[in-house]
Amino acid sequence: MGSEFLPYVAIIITIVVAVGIALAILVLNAVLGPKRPSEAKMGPFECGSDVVDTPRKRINVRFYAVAIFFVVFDIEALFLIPIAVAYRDLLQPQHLGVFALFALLLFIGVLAIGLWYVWGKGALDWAFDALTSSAARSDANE
Amino acid sequence: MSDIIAFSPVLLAAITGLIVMVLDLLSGKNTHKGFLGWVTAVGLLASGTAACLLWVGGREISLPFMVGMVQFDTYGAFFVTLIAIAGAASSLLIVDHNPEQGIHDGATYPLVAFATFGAMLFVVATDMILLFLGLEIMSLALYVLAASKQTSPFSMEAGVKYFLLGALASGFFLFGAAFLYGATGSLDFVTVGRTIQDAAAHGSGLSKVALVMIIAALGFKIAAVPFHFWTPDVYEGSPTPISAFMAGVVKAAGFAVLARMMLTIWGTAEFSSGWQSPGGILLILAVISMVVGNIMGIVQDNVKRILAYSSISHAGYILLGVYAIGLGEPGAVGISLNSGVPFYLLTYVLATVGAFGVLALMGGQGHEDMSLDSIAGLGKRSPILALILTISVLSLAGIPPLLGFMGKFVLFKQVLLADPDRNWVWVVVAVLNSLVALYYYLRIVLYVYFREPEGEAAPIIKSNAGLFAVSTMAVLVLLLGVFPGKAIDASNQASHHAVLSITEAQAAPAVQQESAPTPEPKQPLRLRQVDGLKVDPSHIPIIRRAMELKLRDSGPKPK
Amino acid sequence: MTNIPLSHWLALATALFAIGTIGVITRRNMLIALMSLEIMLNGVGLAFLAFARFRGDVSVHAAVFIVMAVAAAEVAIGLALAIAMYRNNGSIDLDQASRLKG
Repeated sequence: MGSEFLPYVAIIITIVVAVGIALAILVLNAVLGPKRPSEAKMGPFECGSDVVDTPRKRINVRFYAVAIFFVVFDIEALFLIPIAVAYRDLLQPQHLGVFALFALLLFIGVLAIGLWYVWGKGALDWAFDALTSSAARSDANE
Repeated sequence: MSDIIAFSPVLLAAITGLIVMVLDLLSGKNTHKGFLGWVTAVGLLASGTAACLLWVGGREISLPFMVGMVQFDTYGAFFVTLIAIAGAASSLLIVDHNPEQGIHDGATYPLVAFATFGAMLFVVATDMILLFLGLEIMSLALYVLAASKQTSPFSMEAGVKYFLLGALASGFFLFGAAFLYGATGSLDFVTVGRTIQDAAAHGSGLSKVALVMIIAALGFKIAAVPFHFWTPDVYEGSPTPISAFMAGVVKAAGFAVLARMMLTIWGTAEFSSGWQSPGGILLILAVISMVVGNIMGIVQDNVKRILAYSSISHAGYILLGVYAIGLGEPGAVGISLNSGVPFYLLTYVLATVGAFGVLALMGGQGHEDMSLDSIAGLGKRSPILALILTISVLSLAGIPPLLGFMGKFVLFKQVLLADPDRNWVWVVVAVLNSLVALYYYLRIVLYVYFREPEGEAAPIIKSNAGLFAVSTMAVLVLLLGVFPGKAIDASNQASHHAVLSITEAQAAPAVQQESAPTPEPKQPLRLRQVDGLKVDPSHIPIIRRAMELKLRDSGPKPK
Repeated sequence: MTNIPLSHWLALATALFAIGTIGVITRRNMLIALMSLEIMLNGVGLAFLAFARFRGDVSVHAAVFIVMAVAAAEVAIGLALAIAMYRNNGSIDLDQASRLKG
């Protein structure tokens, strides 16, 4: 092994440790845990859908709507966490001062208007039909 | 505080979007949402007015949260105003679109406002990341708008095509920005430019990759030919007011940024030496865009597609102007932005929004496509719309009393003067192309006035808002065509300050690299005389200083 | 942590970008095209981080955050378009979206 691969040793160690921890949890569980099997417990957990099913089955399109909103609002945390970590420093007058708080509130405020809009349009209701059928919606409008 | 005021035109557009969102919610589900179009238009025009009021010299904005990321000078003000006008016109065109044409949702108007906001941010940004943010705010809103005619498969398809290719282009832009950062260690235009004009960084592979990637990405936005395939499909499939917005705003913003980047980052002395130089690439794109756009335009039968190909060929003419940026005698540094570029964009945007706007006021009731046949006999059915369409189309063609002629005249003349020995070829090519283009423009006029519809002609939508928007465009085209003085002055100032603010920043002592004073090359320093560019005498020392600095940088380096 | 040379990082970033680009261009399934798009932008993020590390400049990490946020917004819109496409076509096969001739 050439010396240029030396830096990757750390990555290999990480992989080994990660796999090791997962294996250890499984093994310990099998050895130590009490076992009272039932049918529901024995089935693998699949987020509420049937375990044995045709792979071609359609997923309800409403899940996509939830996915879209999740993806968008999930990213909020991406910007909030760095600010939260550096917040004490940012409040120092030589950095941003009180403006840091103002900027944070502005950011959350704009997102809140977005959330309000989504809510007001009824897109958070499980029965929201705009994404599933346009026909249903144009009926509702008339 | 003054920084917030200086940034206010851009902020106003964003605030307009938020206000319209809230109004849409508060007005309830069953009201007609047309009034939101007026609110959007008023908000965007307020933003344009603010930009005009701030028409004072170069002004660097350093808000506490984005230091040196935004440059609001007359160049920015010019394009912000232009974008605001086109955005307001598009939102007025949507007001009376009936449900059958798809757009009847209140969500359309905030999207238009946000797309306009993104375009404004795109134009004033001088930092790669803020630029990218503006590009994405504009594009993301437009992907949705292109697909907003929910009942039509065509609109959906236009949206999907625009989305996939647009996302690809954004990826290319970012990759280019990453490599540019790798080559220079900065994301700020001025620093990047200063570093890259150093011979070593300029020749490096990283910056070449970055150049190609960024030109490809911006070439997509301005629909230059090898990156144009989406244009006719998307313009045809999208709801027509949105086509107007894309043809007007996106192209103006894309060219504003392309010109500024070429000027700041790659505007070196070897700008146009050989085919692999930035200028060479732009020249190739310019010539093939003109030729392909016009030839494909001849064979189309759909008015929206004809206008799409016309917009591609116009991209070719403007690229020729951008190419002329960096030309000059060897030794003298090309630091002049051809004022023909902003002026030509003004003429193009007004005319193309007018032409698409008239088409937006036709159709509906199941009439989806806009074939030449469906506008036949428009002259009898609606003389006013026919007149507006004719004025817009003839202005695009460059017929003399109209604004388009002045645009072509100023642009071609400046390209010629930039380098008379070599550029006459390209100017001749461009003029011949304009003659070819006359064929399809006159074909539209012919159908409007001298043909009877064979099939079913497109019905006309009664819309005061839309009529107001398109007639304003036509009046502007006529008035500015006859009295172009003010507009040419404005574009001169705009291009002048695009130069000035950059040279000021570059003339400031470099922070990172402090090179030992090198012997000055014994070349006469000359301010290149560009036609119509009035240099304020008080600015000459600054420009001179910048030229000296550049000469020193581009001269041989003592090692 | 010893140094992995910049060229290795760049090779990985460019490979990711190229895989993503080829995926967007050639795959006909809208969802797979979206995934490829994500791979592309991740390649860009990696290139930014590699250069940032190489230059010892932490401030560019902000750029990577913004790239990630924009990528999320892009995917959200892509999913919405995929739904619209399914509603109109009954499929998310991009080849079927060819009514307009380019």
